[in-house]
Amino acid sequence: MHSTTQFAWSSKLNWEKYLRPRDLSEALTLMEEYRGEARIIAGGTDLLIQLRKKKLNLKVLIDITNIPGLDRIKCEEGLIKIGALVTHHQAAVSPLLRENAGAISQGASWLGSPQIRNLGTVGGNIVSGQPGADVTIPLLALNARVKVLSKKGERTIPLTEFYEGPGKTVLDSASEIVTEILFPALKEGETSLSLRLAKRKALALPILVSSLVLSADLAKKRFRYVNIALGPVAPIPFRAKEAEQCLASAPIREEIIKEAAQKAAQESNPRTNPLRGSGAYRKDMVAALVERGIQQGLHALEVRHG
Amino acid sequence: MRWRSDMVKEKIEIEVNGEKRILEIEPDQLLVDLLREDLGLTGTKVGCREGECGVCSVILNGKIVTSCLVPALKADGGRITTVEGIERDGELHLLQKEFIYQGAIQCGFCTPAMLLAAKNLLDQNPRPTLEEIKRAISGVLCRCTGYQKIIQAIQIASQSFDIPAQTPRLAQD
Amino acid sequence: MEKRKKKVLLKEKVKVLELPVFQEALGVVGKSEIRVDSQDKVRGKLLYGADMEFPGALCGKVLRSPYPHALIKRIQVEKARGLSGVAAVLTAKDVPGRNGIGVVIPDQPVICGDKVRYVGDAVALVAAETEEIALQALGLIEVEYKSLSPVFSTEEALRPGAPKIHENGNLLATSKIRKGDIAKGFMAAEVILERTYTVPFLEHMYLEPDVTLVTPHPEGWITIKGPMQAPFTTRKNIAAVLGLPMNKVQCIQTPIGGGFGGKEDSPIDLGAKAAVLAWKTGRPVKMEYDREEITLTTAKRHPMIIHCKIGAKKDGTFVAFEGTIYDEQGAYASLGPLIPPAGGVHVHAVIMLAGPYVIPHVKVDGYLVYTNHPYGGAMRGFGAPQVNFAHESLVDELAEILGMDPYELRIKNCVELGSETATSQVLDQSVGLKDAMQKSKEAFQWVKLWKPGPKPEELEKGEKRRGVGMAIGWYRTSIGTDSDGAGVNIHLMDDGSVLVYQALTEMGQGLLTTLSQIAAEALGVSLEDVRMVIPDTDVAPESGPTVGSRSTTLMGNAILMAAEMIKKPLLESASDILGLPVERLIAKNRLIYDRDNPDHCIELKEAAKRSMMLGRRMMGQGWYTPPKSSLDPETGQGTPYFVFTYSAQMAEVEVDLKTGEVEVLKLVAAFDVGKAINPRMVEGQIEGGVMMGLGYALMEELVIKDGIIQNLSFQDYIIPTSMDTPEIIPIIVEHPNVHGPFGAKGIGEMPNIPAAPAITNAIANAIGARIYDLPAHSERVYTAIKDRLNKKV
Repeated sequence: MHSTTQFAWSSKLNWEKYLRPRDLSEALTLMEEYRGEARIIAGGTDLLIQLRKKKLNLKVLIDITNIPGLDRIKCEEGLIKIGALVTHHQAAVSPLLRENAGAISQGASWLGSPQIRNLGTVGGNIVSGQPGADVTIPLLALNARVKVLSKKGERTIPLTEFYEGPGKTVLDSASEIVTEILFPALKEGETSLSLRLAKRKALALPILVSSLVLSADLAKKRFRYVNIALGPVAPIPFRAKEAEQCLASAPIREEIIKEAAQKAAQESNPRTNPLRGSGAYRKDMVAALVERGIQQGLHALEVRHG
Repeated sequence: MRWRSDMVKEKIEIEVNGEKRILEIEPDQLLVDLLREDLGLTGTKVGCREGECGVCSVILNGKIVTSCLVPALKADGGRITTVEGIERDGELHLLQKEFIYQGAIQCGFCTPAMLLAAKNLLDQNPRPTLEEIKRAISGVLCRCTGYQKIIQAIQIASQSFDIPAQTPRLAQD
Repeated sequence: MEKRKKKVLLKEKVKVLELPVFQEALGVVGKSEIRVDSQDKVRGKLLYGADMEFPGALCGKVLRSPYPHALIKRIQVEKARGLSGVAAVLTAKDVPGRNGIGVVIPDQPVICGDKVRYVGDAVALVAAETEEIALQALGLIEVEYKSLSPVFSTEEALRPGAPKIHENGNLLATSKIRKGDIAKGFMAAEVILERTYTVPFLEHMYLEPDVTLVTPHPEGWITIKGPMQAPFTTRKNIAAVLGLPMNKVQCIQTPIGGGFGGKEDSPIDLGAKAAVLAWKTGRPVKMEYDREEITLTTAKRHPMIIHCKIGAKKDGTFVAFEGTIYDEQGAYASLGPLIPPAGGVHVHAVIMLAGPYVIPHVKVDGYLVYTNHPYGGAMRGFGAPQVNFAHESLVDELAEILGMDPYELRIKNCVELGSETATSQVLDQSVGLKDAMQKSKEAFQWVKLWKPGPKPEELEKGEKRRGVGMAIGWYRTSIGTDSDGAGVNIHLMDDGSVLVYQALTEMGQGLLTTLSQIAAEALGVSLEDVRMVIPDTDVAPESGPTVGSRSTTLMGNAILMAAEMIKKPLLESASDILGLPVERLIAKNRLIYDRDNPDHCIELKEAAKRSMMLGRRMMGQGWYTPPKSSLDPETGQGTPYFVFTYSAQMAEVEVDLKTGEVEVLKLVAAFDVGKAINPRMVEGQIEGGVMMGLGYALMEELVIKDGIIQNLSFQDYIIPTSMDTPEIIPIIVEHPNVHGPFGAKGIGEMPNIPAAPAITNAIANAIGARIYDLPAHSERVYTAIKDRLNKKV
C-alpha cells in the first residue's frame, strides 16, 4: 500500500518554538537544550525553503539575528573580518569589500534578488554547504577561515576543510555557531573577482561560479599566484589546485593561461544536471570562465597600477 | 480558517504602515500570513512561498524583503510598510500615480510588490539610472507587462521625486 | 453613427470587402484612456479570490498519484475519515454525476477510479476544518497501485502494441491539409530545404495561484467563485459532474491575476473537485493550489516535433510546403482535439504551419497523441507559437541558402490583400502584414544592421558577436467553431449611467477598459459612465471563453448591436426635445446634438429621462456571431478564420561566443491590429507578449524525467526578469477589419508568437549556426558554435 503526500504542500512550516536569544551564550545553551530538533536561523532564505520541500523537519528555530556584533565588516591587522550576520546586500555595497575583495561583493551582488540579499547572510551561505554557493566560492579563493564558537570555546577552521559533502559541513549544528569569516586583505599587485553563469540575470541558481584571487608582477610579466575556486563542479566547493600550480610563478602568456584553464576544467568534475546543464558543457565553461577571469584580473591590475 | 491548532501562541509587537499592532500568533506564522490573515492587509500577495516570485514583498525595517520567507516573530519590534501604507490620507503616492498614467498595471498581481520595490529604491536613491531601476525590481516577477511600462513609470516618477535635504545616498548593490 | 463606405481598388479580380470609414471623429475609442480598474489595483485594495473572506469554509486538498501510469487496485480511506476535523474523504464513486471534465472531451476524471495517467492525477479528495488536518488526512489514505508501462513520447505512444492510455488508443486526433499537388510542387522546386524542429512543454506561470470558493445552497444549487477565463465552460462541466441542470450552477469570476489560457480549464479542474466536496458536505469549500501543484497538474503548451520541407525557385518564389506535426497531448484531451470545424489546438497548428505565405502546393499531416505526461491545453497562441518557430526558422534558413536577405524573401512570398492561404482562403480584407513589415524594417534600421552570418573562422575571434533576425506571423481572431458567438445586455439608466452585463473576463489584458470604451463610444456617454458587472453566469448571456484573441472583436460587436437598440428610444426622445428628425442626431460625450449645428444640443441624460418617463425602456441586447468558419476535414481547405492579425518582429542579440549566453538588445515588434481601441493597452500586450516569446526562445521549458516534472516552481522554471529585458519598440498599424468594432481585431496572443524565431534567427545570424530545438539556452548555443568550429562549415 502506498501512502504519500509527496505532492501536497503545506503553507505552515510547523515549527513549535521560535526563540530569539540575545547573546551567543544564550544561543548555545538553547542549541544544546533542543539538540536534534532545532536549527539556527539567520536570514532563513535557505532554511524555509528546505522546510517547505520537507527536506527538514524541525520543532525549534533559534533566530540569532538579534545578537549584536555579528554584522560588522572590518579590517584588523591585515585581516578582513566579516561577521556571520552580514547580509549579502551589505557585502555587495561595502566599500571595504569592493576595494579589497571584489570577488565577494560581486558574488553577493548577483545572488537571488534585492529581497533575498536583504535577508540572506554570509554565514548562512557558508553553512548551507551548497557546492555552488555564490559567496562561499569567493571566500574559498581568498583562503578564508571560519570562526566557530561553542561552549567549549572558539576554533578557526579553514574553509577548505569546512565541507564534508553537498549540504554537509563539519559543524555540529547542535553545538556550534559560525560567528565570523576572515581572510588576509589583498596587497599591492593582488586582485580578486568572481564570474558567474546562470540561466537568467536575476533570481537564478548558478550553473557555474568561478572566483579568482590573482597576484602578478606586471613589470616582470609574471604571475605570483592565482587562486581558483569553482562551484558547483564537485560535491563541495572546490579549489582547482592543479591549475593553480600551473600558474604559480609562471610567465604571463596566453598559452599558459589557456593551459591553466584547461587543467581547471579537467580536474573539476561537474555532473550532468537536468536543470543546469550537462557535465560536458559545465566542464567547458570552467575553462571559459577561468580563462576569462584571469584576463579580467590582469586587466584590473593594469588599470589600477597604470 | 486555517490556523486553528493547539500551539501556544506568542505575543508580537510590530508597526505596520505607521500603526502599532500587538498580536498573539502561532510561533510558525509567517509574516505574509500575519499581514494577510491577522491584519486583513491582502494587498500583499502569495505567489510561490519560496521567495522567488516576489509578490509577497514588503518593506521591513527599511529594506525590501519577501515576506513569505520571514517568520513573523523575526519581525517582532520591526517596522513594516505594505502597499496599503504607500498612500497618505487617501492621496496616492507619486509612484502609484505614474503606474496608472503609464499603463504599468495589467493583471495587478505584482503591482503592490513592484510599487514597494520602487519606493524602496527611490527612498534611498531618488535619481536612479535605468540599470538601477531594473535591478531594484528584479526580485518581482511579472508575466503580463514585460516590465517596460513599470520601468518607465519609475523613471518618470523619479524625475519629480523629492530629494530630502539630508538623506545619505545609500549605496546600491 | 453612420458609416460611409469607401471602395478599394485591386489589380486582380478579387472581391474585396468594403472598408467602413467613420464619419465622425471618435470620442473615446482610439484613445489611451486610463484603465478603469487602475485605482484598486494600485492601492492593493482589489480582492482576488484568495483575498476574499470565506468564513466557515472547509479546506479542500487532493491526494495525487506519484505514478505516471498505474492501475488503482485498492484505496483505503477509513483512517482518514476517522480523523477529527475531517468533513469528507471522497473517492471516484463519490462523484454524483459524470466523473469526467474537459472542454472538448470529458476524459479527465475528477477523481481517478480505475487508473491514473500522469504524475499528479487525483485519486482522492479531502475536506477538513484546517489545512493542517486536511494534509494529515491525506497522509492517512492508503492506495495500492499497480504500475503500468508508461509512455513518454509520441513516438513510443504510436508504436504498435504500445500501452493504451485511454480505451480508444493513443492517437487522439489527426488533421491534414491537401492543397494542389505536392509531388508536382516539389518537382518544380529548384531548392529544397528540409528540417525538424522540437519545442518543449511550457507553463503559464501566471502569478496568481488557482483558487476556488464554492458555496452549496440548501435550495439545491451551487456557486463557484474564482479566477476563471471560461465561466460558461466551467458551469457546463461542473453541472455535469454534480448531475445538476446548468441553471443550478452559478460561476462567478473573481479578478484574475494572469491567465494566458491556463485559467481556461484549470478552474474546471479545481472547481469540480471543490464542488464535489461542497456538495457532499453541504458546506462551503475553499481550495487553493500551491505553486508546485499548479505546475504539476494543470494544462501546458503542447510540445511538438515538427518536420517540414519547403521548395522554392532560385529567385525565392515558394512553390511547395510539406509538414508533419507530432503533437503531444499528454494524459487528457483538454483543448487539443477538434471542435468543428477549425477549433482546438491541433487543427489550428496544422492550419498555421505553412505560415502567412502564398504557396500553391501544401501538404500537412498532424497527429495528436496521448502520453503519460501532463496535458497540453490552451497557452497564448494555441498551437501557433510552436509552428511559427518552425516555419520562420525554415524560411530564414532558406534565405541563407538562396543568398537572399531574409526580409526580401519574406516580403516576396508573404500574404497581402487578395492572397490565397494554405487552406485556399482568400484574404479579402484587413491584411496589414507588409505594412507591419515595412514599418518594423524602418524602425529597426534593418538594412543598416543586417548582413550575412559569419564564417567559422570569425567565431574564433573576440568574445561576443551581434546578430539580427526577424520573423513574421499571423494569428486568427476568435476560435473557428460553429458555436462561436458573444452576447451582452446593456441598460442605460435615466441618469445617463450604463450597466453592461457580459461575462468575458478581465485578466490584465484590459478587457474591462476596452469594452467600456466601445460601449461609451457607441452610446455617446463618457468612459466613467459605464460600469461592467462582475462576470456571473447567472446574469450574463453565454458568450464562450475569453481566449483566442476574440473578446474585443466579438463582444465589441455585440455591444455595438446592443447600443443600437438603446439608441432608438434614446434618439426618439431627443428628437422630441430638440424638434429635429432622428437622422440628424449624434450622441457623443454625454450630449445629443444636431449634426449640422452642434451647438443645438441637450444633455444625453435628459433624453434618457424622457425615455424612462414615457415607458421607452432603454435596454439593448446584442448577440454577435462572426462569419461562419469552414474547413473540409479531408483536405483542410476552407475559410477557418474570418480575419487575422499580422505581425513582423525584428531582434538584435549579442551572443557570448565562449559561453553561449544570449542577450537580446533590441526588439521591434509591429502589429496590424485593425484598430487600436486603446493604444497604450495594446502596447502593454505587445511588450508583455514579446517578453513571453523571449522566455520561449531562451529559457523556458518543463524538464520532465520519468514522467516527473523536475522544475515545479519559479526557482527552476525560468521566466524572464526585469534584468532580461531588451529595448522593446512596439509599432501599431491599422488595416481595419470590416467585421470588427471600429475596425478592430485581436491582439492578445499575437505578440508572443514571432518573438521566439525573431530571436533564434538573430542568434543564427550572429553565429552562423541554427538552433532547431527550443529553448536556445546557453548550452545549446555554445554547442552550436562549437560544432560549427569543429566542422568548419
